[in-house]
Amino acid sequence: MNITTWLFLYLAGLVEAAIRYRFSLGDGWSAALTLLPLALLAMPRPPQPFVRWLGLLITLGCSIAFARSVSMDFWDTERPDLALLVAGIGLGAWLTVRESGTHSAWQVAEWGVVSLGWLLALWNPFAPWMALAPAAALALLPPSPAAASKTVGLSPAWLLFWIGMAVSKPWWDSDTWSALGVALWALAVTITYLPRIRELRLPFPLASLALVPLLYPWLPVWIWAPLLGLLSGWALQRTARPWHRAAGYALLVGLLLSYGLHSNLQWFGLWVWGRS
Amino acid sequence: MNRPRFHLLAGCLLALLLFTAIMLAVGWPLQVRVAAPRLGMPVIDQPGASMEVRLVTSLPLLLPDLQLSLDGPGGVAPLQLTGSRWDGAAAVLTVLLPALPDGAYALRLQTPTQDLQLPKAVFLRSNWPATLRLVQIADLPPPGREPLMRRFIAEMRVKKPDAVLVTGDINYTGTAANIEFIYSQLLQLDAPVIMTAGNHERTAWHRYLRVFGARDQRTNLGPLAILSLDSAHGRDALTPSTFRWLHREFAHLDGRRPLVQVHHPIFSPGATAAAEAGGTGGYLRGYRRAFIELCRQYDVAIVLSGHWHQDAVYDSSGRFRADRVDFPGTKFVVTTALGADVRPVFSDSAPNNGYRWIEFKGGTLGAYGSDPHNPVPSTALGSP
Repeated sequence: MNITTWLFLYLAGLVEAAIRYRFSLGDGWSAALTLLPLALLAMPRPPQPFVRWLGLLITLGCSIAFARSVSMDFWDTERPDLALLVAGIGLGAWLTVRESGTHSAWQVAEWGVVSLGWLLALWNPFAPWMALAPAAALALLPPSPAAASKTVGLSPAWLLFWIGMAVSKPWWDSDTWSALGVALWALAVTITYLPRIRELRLPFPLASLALVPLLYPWLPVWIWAPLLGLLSGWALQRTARPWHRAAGYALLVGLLLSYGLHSNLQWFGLWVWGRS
Repeated sequence: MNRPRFHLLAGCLLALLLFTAIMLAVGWPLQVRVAAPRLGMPVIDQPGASMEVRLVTSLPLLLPDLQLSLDGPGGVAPLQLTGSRWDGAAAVLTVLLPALPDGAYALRLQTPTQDLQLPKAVFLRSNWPATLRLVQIADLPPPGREPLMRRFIAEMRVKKPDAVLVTGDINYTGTAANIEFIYSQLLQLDAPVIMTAGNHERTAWHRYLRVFGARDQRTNLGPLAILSLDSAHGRDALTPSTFRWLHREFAHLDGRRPLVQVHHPIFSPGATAAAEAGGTGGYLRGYRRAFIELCRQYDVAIVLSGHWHQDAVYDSSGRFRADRVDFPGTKFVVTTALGADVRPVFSDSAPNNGYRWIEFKGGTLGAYGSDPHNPVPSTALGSP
């Protein structure tokens, strides 16, 4: 698991929960606790091996305790004990994956878990967070040799910005479609990591035209999400490493911008017929 | 098997096993929650009709052994299961309504580990009166104004409407005590309660979902299809999913006349607002034009809103109407607060706490204001 997948799971889970349960910065200490793991991105020191195992245990325990508390009920975003568990999920996973690299063999499993997590969000809205533990566990396995991938000079920050734009699209006010869209997107990313498929050459400038529909909120999810997933997967493998920390924040900006564009916040004058 | 493939397989298996273990730790023993029907989103139909029960389960695609029954004035009767399917997170069970006397019934669900009772979830009605009488309320009393709620309940027990529509801002303070008081009062009504959320529900959204359930919902009431929309998520708008849901419901009215309730008024108070109205006149923004067009296309009788704490009526062009009751097209109606503070948004409308009394003859809208000529005034609390 690399830090971007961690960010993706934690942030997208937070955005999804924000939509469902009105998570708000106005919730005071609870909101601050929930957002605390994001501040860890600024800490450069790699953790000791035992700390990585401890992190995995914390993630595992917190995700089970949190999901048991809310799975048949609803999340009171003002409750500090629940916020603490959410922070524990993010913090523990971060400790586990902070300095892990990108290993080709594990990436299939990692993105498979992401996809499965979002698919299971159809039943339990917190399944994406629960996916953090199994995805982080992969970071503890010995690295396997990465297949050489030619980089194409894509800016990782731009790429992650667009991925942020991709998750939790207009369907995110619906319990079903938001999760399914992200699950399909992640499944397509998984496929791009399979042997042979990952070696395919893609005309990126041409293919990136497929990103344009991101600006349109009603494109059917089953067309748009897998297409964008394929593009994202191939591009993820061909961006230069290591990624700068700013790339992680670009994902956050993309998420927020997507929320603004497609949730009727009426930013930027993006009006589609019938919305006004 | 070569090493990369072994790694691939081992990684996938490990992740899958861990994920399965976590899901089991969360969802075992298997539990269910009744999403619908319940108070606020009831089923109202005749004995022998089909009814859908939506259940959320703690583990995907698994249902425990369960028995469903109705419990009410006519006794207890088990519900006969005729079909089931999965709709995303929910198991949807189709059951037949038993031959019991008309009245309000609790839905009872028993599993090996749970015994759930949902009072006033099902209303059996064998026939419909020539004139259907609905009551609409919005912006319910906050703590300190409880007597207004009690007076309303007492009036409704005398006037006996066929249904009570609650158009949002139910839990003003967001506290558990506030929503529990409102729930306990609504439970005393003989009529079915049909609910939609207001902006104040978002201050404790989990409590609203726990007590009253869903967001967008449809309730069939004899010749009417009542569509309750959620506009109140802090964006004063219908979201794409809500709008798409509305479109789909309009396409399957089955001969029923549609009626919509949505917390935010559709039109701006504009020039009709009194100077002292200040910033109180929030209204629907996202999808407004398309919503009005759908109302015209599907001949929506009336759109009921709250939020302003004062009465107002508009026609489809957004013109404030205080001249006559029977102008053509959909009536876009704003109803005063039942118990929250009243506001002087309009000089043409006397501020008072009250409710709206609406009558339908068949599918045709009749009266919807307390003045037979002027549609704007609602019925003040305490009126005869």
